[in-house]
Amino acid sequence: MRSELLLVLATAVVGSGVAFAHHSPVVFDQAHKVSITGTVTEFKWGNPHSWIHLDVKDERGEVGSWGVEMNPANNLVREGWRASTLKPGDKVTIVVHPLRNNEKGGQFLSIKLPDGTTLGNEGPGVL
Amino acid sequence: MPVRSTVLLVALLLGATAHAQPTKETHPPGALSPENLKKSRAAAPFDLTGTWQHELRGGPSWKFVPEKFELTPEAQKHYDAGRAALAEGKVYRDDIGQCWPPGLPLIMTRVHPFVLMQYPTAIYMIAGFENSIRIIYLDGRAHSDPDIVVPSFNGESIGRWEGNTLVVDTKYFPGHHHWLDQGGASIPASDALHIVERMKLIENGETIEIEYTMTDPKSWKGDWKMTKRFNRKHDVDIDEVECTPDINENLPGTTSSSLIR
Repeated sequence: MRSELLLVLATAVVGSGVAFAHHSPVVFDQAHKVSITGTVTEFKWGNPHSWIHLDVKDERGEVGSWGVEMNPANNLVREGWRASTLKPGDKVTIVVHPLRNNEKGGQFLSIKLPDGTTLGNEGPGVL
Repeated sequence: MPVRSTVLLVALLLGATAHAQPTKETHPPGALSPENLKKSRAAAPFDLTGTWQHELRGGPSWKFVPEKFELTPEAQKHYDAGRAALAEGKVYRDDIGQCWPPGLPLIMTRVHPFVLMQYPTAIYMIAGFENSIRIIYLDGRAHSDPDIVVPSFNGESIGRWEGNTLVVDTKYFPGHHHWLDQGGASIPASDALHIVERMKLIENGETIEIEYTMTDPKSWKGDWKMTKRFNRKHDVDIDEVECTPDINENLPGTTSSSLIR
């Protein structure tokens, strides 16, 4: 069990997401999704990747830092993202394809922002 | 300067002039020099200037490995190591992820768009992926002397027109950190890689179709043939994209302990 905070979602491989990773996606489990809720510590807006770091409390109450990598900014902007979309301290819920090795990281699929707005989709990457 | 030092310096200079001087390389007119551009040439059958992107869905795979192949023993070692890593959910030598250039042919099909700028004497390509640059010379020059050329990940490309087809011959690759796939079939591209591309502009100028023929006797037997298509992007610009350490050190996909380097 990864964490009580993680809702493991069996994933049908459908959808329209396109991952623009510059590296191999094999380390991510494209067949599964997990949902993590935590507090943003850093949001980097950039190319070839944007990323989010957030603190997530596990089932023992211990806080761990998660890394979530995203598509490049030049693609995210077409999906409604802006450099100002996230700031440290924001409470968010993010759905990712998790790392296969249970390390605290994943490939971004979607996010629920503090105001309830949702960005992204939960389709798989193509790579 | 002391007398002894002065005498020694003069002696060294005299000695240097006594040796034969190496032949200096004379460079032909540059591809964009006015004298080269204004030379009389047949009009190009088509102009590839534009922004293009490999078909992401419904078309041929972005990968350049055929379904069946026979590798050399050295390449087979890498392939087997890659398969073993995959079986464990790991990645074997994802050099692109660690900021090495993808090189030809993968630079053409990575998901980022690329720009082509065509002149009578050359086609300049800038990829949105790590801003890799590729130049296809069309001014009639031959491949460079192998004793002069500096091998590069996109190689040296020489193009010529055959009817309505642009035929591009590319060689002179570095032979290290260069692969035919990424995170899948770990087949290395050696310094003997040779690529011939037959390019056509189809679909009313909206699609480039490229037939690839690739040989690499140090990595596989025979030639590999495949076709890729690239669609014109009307509402896309490429950006400056650099693979930098500060980005990689913050990404789970490039720092995971499941990466075998």
